[in-house]
Amino acid sequence: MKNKTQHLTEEQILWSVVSDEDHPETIEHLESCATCMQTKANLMKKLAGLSAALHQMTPEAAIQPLDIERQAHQRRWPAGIVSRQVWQAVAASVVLAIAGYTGLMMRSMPSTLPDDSTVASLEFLFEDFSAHDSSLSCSYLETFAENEEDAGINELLELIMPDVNGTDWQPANG
Amino acid sequence: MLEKNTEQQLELVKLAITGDRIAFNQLYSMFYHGIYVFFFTRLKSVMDAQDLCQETFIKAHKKLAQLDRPESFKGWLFTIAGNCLKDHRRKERIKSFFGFFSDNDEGALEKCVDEASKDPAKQAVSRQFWVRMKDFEKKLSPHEREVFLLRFSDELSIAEIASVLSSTASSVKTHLYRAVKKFKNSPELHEFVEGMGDIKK
Repeated sequence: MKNKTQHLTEEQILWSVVSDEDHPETIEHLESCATCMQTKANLMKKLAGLSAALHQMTPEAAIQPLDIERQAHQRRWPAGIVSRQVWQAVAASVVLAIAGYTGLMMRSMPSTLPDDSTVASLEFLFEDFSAHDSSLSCSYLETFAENEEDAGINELLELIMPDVNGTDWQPANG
Repeated sequence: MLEKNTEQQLELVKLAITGDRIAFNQLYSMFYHGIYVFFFTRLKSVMDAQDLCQETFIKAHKKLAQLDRPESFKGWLFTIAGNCLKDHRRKERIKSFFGFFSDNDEGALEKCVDEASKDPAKQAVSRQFWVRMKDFEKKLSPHEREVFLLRFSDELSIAEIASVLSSTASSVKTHLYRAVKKFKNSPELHEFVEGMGDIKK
């Protein structure tokens, strides 16, 4: 702590403005030092000026009559008729009804038909596909399809009955 | 004089707690301006400040029976006002999230200032004051700003501020110390305030 010949620091002055009850030695110094007292008083004056200015510069507003009864009635209205639980049940029922109605509507709606642009795209793809494969004869395409189908069936049979055509296979009652 | 006022206030609070409507109306007249300034300094909107004032006193009337210590009425009332402000800001955030416009812009403040006085000189001083105040507030953290305004605008004690902010007295003092230091280092604001004093003289 500074002795009486030294002035208070800025920090000490500020603390004394905020709350001087925590710093008895600062109070003691201020009582005996006119310079520090003046520094503190100047700052306090500025703060008081700001406080006054905040009140003065706030636009004046006429005091409105406090109508507690009306306001309370307005706020109480929905709860005044029935209890909160009933309101919650009503709200839940409304939500369920809307959800159910929407579900029903969705079910009863006809399946959506492709729009014109989709039809046009499909037609184009079909034409494109035909144009690419036009070099192959129809009979070749059919043969290829048949062979491919047969190969598929044979593979399946081999998986189910590996030796169905082999020598190891024995009939059940053979 | 101050002690007489405090005693009278205490009597009114006690009467209001017992359900005396006249006593509550007297308290309303007594604290209306303070609560209105509380909202205006934070929202810079007369309409919002008036609405929230009403809301604060309606809530206070509703919860008055819960007030344990009648001597702490002022701090208790400002706590309700603080909660109303918090709710209002939350609603404003939701509104702005959904794209509604908020009135709390500089245009709204100018409109308020212009409507408050017909004198162009007064309007200019008022506008300059709020601009400087806003610049000063930007230097403060939200907590410092709140503590500073509660102390020097709303004139609450350290204990009352601690109660309003649900904080400790030492925390309030620390924030207040920082805010006062920033105020001391804002000569543009206190020079302006001093100038206003000279104009009044």
